[in-house]
Amino acid sequence: MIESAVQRQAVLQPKTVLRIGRLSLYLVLAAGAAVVALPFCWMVSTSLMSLGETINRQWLPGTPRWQNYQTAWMEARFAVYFMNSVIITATSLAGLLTTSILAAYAFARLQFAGREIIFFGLLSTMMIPEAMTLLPSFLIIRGDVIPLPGGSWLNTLQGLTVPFMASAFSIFLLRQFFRRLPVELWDAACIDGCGHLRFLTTIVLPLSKAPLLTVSLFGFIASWDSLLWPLLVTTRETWRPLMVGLWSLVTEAGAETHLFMAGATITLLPILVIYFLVQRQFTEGIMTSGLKG
Amino acid sequence: MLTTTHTPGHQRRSLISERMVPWLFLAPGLLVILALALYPFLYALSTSLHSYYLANPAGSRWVGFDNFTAFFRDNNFWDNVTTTIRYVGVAVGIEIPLGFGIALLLHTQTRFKLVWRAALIIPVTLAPVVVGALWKFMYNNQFGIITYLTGLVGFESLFLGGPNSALWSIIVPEIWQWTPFVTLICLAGLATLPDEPYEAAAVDGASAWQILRYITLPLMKPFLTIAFVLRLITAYKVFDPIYLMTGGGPGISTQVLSIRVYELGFATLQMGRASALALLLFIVATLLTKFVVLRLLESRQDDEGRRL
Repeated sequence: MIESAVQRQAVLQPKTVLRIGRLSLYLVLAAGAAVVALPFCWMVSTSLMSLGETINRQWLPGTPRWQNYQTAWMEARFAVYFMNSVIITATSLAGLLTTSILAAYAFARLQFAGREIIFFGLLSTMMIPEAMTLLPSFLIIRGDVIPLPGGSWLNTLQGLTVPFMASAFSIFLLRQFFRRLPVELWDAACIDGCGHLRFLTTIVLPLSKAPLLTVSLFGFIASWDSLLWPLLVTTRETWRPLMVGLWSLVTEAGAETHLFMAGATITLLPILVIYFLVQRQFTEGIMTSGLKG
Repeated sequence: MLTTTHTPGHQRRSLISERMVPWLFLAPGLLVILALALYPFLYALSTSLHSYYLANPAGSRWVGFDNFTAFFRDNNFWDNVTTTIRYVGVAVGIEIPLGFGIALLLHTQTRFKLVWRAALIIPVTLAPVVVGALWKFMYNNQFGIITYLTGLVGFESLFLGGPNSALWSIIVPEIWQWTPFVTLICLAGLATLPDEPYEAAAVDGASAWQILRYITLPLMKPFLTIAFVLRLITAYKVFDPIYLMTGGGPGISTQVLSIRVYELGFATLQMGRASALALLLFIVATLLTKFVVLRLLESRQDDEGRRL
């Protein structure tokens, strides 16, 4: 629809100017895409090199060494860690969506004492530097501060997932979206005698595909890409995620750059696959949802 | 703002349960956030008033505000402040206009959409470990491609290794990683803009610049605000990529405040001073939220009309 507006506007200009303009636009975009894509392409290219080639300033490997991926997979113990990461991320995400949706709805739609203050406090927690929360959070998860069900949560699934199950950012993002939904929706639902929970699940959520996908994507990345926290709370292999394996390629194996790059590419793939699966809905969701106008 | 309070259309529920609903909705999320934000906050508050060494917690003693006042006599601290302001200012100052510009260009493109999107989403999804290692390797003096490329045009620099170049060298990956994020937010925003103002502008013969200035920019303000707020917060707290690329060095040339907190707490084990600095960071951030972020967010509500 905007395309049509822009085309309409373009009709006003002489054709040659338009052609030159479009050509330079393509050039700028191509240059920009090259700059953005270069580090990534180089990462993939390096992942297929031999160790000798990586320190030889080569752009492309002589013969692509696909076995690097297998070696990285074995050395970083990805076979175990990959499944761990999938379970950890899925569990975190399910928790994150549940807590964020409920809290965001409360902040956007419900009236209660201290709503603005609590929301402000919540926003402030986004500002707390991680270095400050690291040690006390660790003490909490170890069960030093308050007794936790099942004792210490070190080396457990809940120790790795619960800290990722709520995020001020997700609540903030969803709240911004929920409060822009037209109030008529509620009026209509009220006539049918709909409660908050039913209104939320049957009306609000189907309209909120786009922000939900956005929150999920960020939640996925936060959990999948985390390293420092899993390093702290796992002392055994049982629940270690992918990033810890990847990290071992840097620290344990010396400077095996090609293997690290292969491992990095492996860890990136699931996110890309998921993104491309949802990206159509991602855009459609935004277009068809109540965010417009 | 949200003045319209609606009573539910049915009176079956008791008043008490109706009043409980918000708290039931908030409980799961707030519980986790309270445990992992409020407790660390109190912990920092307490340790910041003590001379507290991580290696010797038993020897902790009360020192009042000494941990705080020490920073104001500490030149290192003021360097950290300048570094942080430079890092955040330059990064966010470039990311927002650049990201918005790219979004404007991409928005009219219908061809190769998947390629653009792939190029945009990859930097955002890369783990900090990967970004740090990747760029460190590209900056390498002997076999990095950046040093190779800049060598071709006769530009010599130590990049991450130079006291003057290191800060700029860590800002480049930051911009590389997060400008696409701004673009993605702006693209989502541009897709929601209404048609009518543009039709009217075309009828009136408005120039491209006028359309951008008087139609697109005001309509895009909510999206630009969100992008700005998110970038500001994460750039201010940035830790992993810097830690992995330079560790704050050479010297303290890339030591932003969050790196200093880590260094104080986990390298020199002075938990008391680390907590004091973390609290200072937090107070400044809260003031920023109160006076910049909230103001920006509120200003858009004026023209919003009747919403949930």
